[in-house]
Amino acid sequence: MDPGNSEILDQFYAAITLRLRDSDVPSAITGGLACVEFGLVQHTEDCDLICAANRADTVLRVLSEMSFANTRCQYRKTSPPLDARWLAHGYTAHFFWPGDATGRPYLDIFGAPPRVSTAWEKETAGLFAGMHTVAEMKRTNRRKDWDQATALGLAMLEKQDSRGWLHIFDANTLRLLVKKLAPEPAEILRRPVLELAINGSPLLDRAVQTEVEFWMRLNEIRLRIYQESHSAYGRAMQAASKNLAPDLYVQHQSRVDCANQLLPVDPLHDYGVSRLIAEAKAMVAIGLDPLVLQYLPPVEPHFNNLGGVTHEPN
Amino acid sequence: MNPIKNQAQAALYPELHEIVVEFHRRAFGEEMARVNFLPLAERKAYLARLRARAAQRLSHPGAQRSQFVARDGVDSAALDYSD
Repeated sequence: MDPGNSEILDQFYAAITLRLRDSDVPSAITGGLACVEFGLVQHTEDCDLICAANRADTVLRVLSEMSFANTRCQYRKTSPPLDARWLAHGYTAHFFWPGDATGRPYLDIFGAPPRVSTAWEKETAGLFAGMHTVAEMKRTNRRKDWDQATALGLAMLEKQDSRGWLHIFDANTLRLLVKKLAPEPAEILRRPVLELAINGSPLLDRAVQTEVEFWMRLNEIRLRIYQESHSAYGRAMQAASKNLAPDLYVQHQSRVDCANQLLPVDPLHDYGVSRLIAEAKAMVAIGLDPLVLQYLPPVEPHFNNLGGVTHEPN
Repeated sequence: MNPIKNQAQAALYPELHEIVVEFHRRAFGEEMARVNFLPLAERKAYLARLRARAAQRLSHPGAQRSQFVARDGVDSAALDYSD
C-alpha cells in the first residue's frame, strides 16, 4: 500500500461510520484504529466497529451501498449473519471489500462488544468509542493488548477520568500512581487490587497477575463456547459459500437460513454466565494462595450487555 | 466520567506524565513511546508507513496476509475460521 493510500482506507471507515450515524444507527470505531486516535500506534488495517444490534438491517443496507475501489462489500467466509438476534448475543459479523492496490478494507461489526460494562453509545469520542470502552475490549488473550489497556487507563487518568484506575495492569505503575493520586471508592469496589496498591502490600504483583490470568481464562472459556456453537454453522457455510454469488444480500440470506437451523442465538446464557465465571475462578485458583483470590474483580457487569441492553454497574 | 473534586489532587496531574511516559518506554520500546506522543497527524503518517511496508512484504510470492497484518486484539470466535 502506498502511504498515501493509508488515508483512503481510514477515510472509508470513517465514511461508513458517518453514513451509519446519518441513518440513525449508533456506531463507533474501536480497536486498533481507536488506539491510534488515543495515542497508541500499532499496525492495523482492519476496522472494528460497534453498532446498535437492533439496527442490523440498516447496517447491512449501508454496507451494501458503500463501494471501495469499485468493489462491493462481501461477507468473510463463515461469518455469522449481520442479524440482530445473533449480534445482540455476542456474535461478530465479518466483512471485506476486494479493493485493489489502494487497499482492501476489512470490517468487523460488534453488537454486544466483549467485556463492555457501560453504555458505549453514550460516551463516544468523535467517530470513536470512548477510551473506557476501548480499554475494556482490550482485556483479550494477547499479552500485548494488556499493555495497551494500561496505556489507555493512564491516558484516562491524565484526562481526569478516574475510571482509568480500572485499566492499569502494571503493578509498578500502580505503586507509582498511588503516591500521587487516590482512586475513588467506586473504583476500589470494582477493582479490589487497588486497595493492595494503596496499602503498599507485597501481594500486589501476584494479585495483578492473577487478575490478568482470570480475564484470560474468562475469554478462553467464552471463546470456546462460541466456537462450539459456531462449528455446525461454520461447516455448513464453508460448503455453501463456495457456490454463492458475490452479492451481499444473497450471502446474507444464505447465512440467515443456515443460522436459523444451526447457530444457537444465545450460547453464553445457554451455558450459564455464572458457570463460566466459576470455571474461570477454579482454573485460576489451582496452586494459588486463596488470599489472592479475594482480590479478583466482580466481572458480572462485563456480561450484562448481552441481549441488546447494557445495564450500568452500581 | 468522575471529575476530580479534590483540587489538591488535580494539581498533581502534571506529574502523572512522567509515569505515563516511563510506562510507554517499558511496554512499547523507545521508538513507539516516541511515536505515541506525536501529534495525531504524525501518528497517522507513521501508521501509513507501517502499512506500506507490510504491503511491500505481502507482494512477495507465498506471503500471507495474516503474517503481516495481525488481527487486532478484539477477539471473536468466528475469526478462527474466517482466515
